[in-house]
Amino acid sequence: MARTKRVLVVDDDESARMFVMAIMEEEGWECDEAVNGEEGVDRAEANPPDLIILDIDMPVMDGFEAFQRLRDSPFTEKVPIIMLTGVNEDGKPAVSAESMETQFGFPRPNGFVDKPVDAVFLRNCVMGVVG
Amino acid sequence: MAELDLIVIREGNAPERHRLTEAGLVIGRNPENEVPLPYKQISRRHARIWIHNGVVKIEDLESRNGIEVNGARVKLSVLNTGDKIQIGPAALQICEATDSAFERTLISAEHAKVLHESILSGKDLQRDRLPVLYRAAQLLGTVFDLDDLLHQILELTFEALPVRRGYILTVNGESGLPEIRAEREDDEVSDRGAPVSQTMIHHVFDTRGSILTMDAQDDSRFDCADSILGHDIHAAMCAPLCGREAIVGAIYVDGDPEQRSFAKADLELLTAIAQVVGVAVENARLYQEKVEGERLAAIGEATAGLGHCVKNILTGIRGGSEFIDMAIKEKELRYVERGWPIMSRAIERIDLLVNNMLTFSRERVPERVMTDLRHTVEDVAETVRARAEKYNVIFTFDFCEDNRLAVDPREIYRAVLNLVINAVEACEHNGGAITVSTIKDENGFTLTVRDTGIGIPPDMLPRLAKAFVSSKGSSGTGLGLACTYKIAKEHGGHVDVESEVGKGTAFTLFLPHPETLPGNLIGFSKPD
Repeated sequence: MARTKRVLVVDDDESARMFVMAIMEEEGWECDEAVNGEEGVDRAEANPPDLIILDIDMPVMDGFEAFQRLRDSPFTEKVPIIMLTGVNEDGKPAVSAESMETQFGFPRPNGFVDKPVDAVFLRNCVMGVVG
Repeated sequence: MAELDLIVIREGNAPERHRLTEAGLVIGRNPENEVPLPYKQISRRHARIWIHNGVVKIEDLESRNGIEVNGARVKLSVLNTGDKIQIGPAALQICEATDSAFERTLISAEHAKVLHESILSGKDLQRDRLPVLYRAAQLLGTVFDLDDLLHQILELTFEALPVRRGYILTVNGESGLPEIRAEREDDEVSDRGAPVSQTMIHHVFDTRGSILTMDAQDDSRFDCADSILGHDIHAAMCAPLCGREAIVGAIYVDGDPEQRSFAKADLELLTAIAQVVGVAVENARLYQEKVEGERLAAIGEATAGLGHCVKNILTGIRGGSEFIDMAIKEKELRYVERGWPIMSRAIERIDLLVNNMLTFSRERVPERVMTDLRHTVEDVAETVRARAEKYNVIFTFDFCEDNRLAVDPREIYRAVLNLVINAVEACEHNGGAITVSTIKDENGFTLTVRDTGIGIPPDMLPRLAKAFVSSKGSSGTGLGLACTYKIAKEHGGHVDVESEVGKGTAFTLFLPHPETLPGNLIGFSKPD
């Protein structure tokens, strides 16, 4: 029997975290959680998961910095990352893969999911990222 | 053509009469002058007064200290009977000539009364001026309510000046028009209706200068405007309240026509008082603008903070309901088991948020009931037990023997709940320990909630009592602690905090014995 895959959900908001974890558990994932970027990086390095779902707007360390650190770390550089992004007042995502690349010079994350999270969209995104 | 006399009044001297002639009377310190005035502040040849075709004129002969007619400094002026001329300490007036010894005496006595008072008041005022200004400045430093300050300034003006009515007007921020902000009238003139001379107020606003009129009804500057005649204004003064850029108001006083008129020194004093008041009015306005700006900013911050928090909670409700929808569609109970904890937690959060908002938004007097605070702490621990267990947070308690105190039990429950929830959240992700301890002594009751969690950054510590300040990002509203501080304060107590990042935090809630508090903090006491 294949090993249960593990996802690390990094989001400072408890409700969002609970919901994402519930979706992932329903899909058969084992879940770990962290409340800010710093804790997320620490947990991911200590025990690299199969997938990281990373919020952007967080206290202590935001998602951008966490993303960069995860990519720079030999333990987590290959772990796929899906970023959760808020939506601006105009209804468009606050951050996109393109904007991360052009605006911040970051490599693209493996996927993007808008908040509030839609279960179907998240499932599809996860399928696309980890197959 | 009637002949005219110049009457000279000097302190300590009998009034002198000099007949006005075409050639004129030279007034000055030189004893050879027609009107010699032996004062050092008077120039040798100070002024000349003459009559030509029935018109009396006065001319300043380039004196050092000048001449004043009805309080205004003039170089050359036409004089009318009744005009008050001041040259140094001497007061002069023009009146109809008389050769009757009886009339001379009578008129002299009348004029002497008026003019002497004018001189004496000027002298007195110079002596009293500094203490008055000192007191005005003192008021500025001690009275912070503008209306209260203006009333006290007016009282001071009444003490210092022979005034029967006084008003302080300030410019209305919206209409831009001056409005009476403080007023005082002596009883006997209180029924004279709307009091302030608009003509004088306009004059002061237009010229930005103070104004004194000995008899406003005859003063050419006012063209006998209705407001002067209508209000029976004789002697009146008005001085602008000057802000840094614009006139922010005016102080207006008038005197009793039966009594003596104002002197130049009176006007100077009023002007000086007005300067003090001007600063106060402008400061009050700036302060009000600042408060209003801060209030709007706080409302914006609060709305944004609450909006963000409610949006996050909605994520939970929406997410939970999505699972429940699935459960209904697929008739699978396990989806309810997934969705319900998310919804339930969201409901708990919104319940806490709304209750904290209500606590924060209203001033409360505690409804005290003798309460065993040990039970309160145990109730709180029970409320958060499931969450604490989930995150490997262990509770320990160290209660003193007697935990009874008269408090508002619902409010204190909320205050302790907020402290304990914060402690759990601080330990949530690496586990930890929370110790709740109590001490009761003669001062009151001390409850400490100590955790081994992530700690609070030092820059946040001074701002914890402020609403909408949170170190918890999206999961915090910044209302919980603000409520605890508020509840402690309403009970006459306080909250202290010690924290070290990475080590943990200790919050101490101190509640004094109600009987040691001043009356306004005791609140209602109910029987046990």
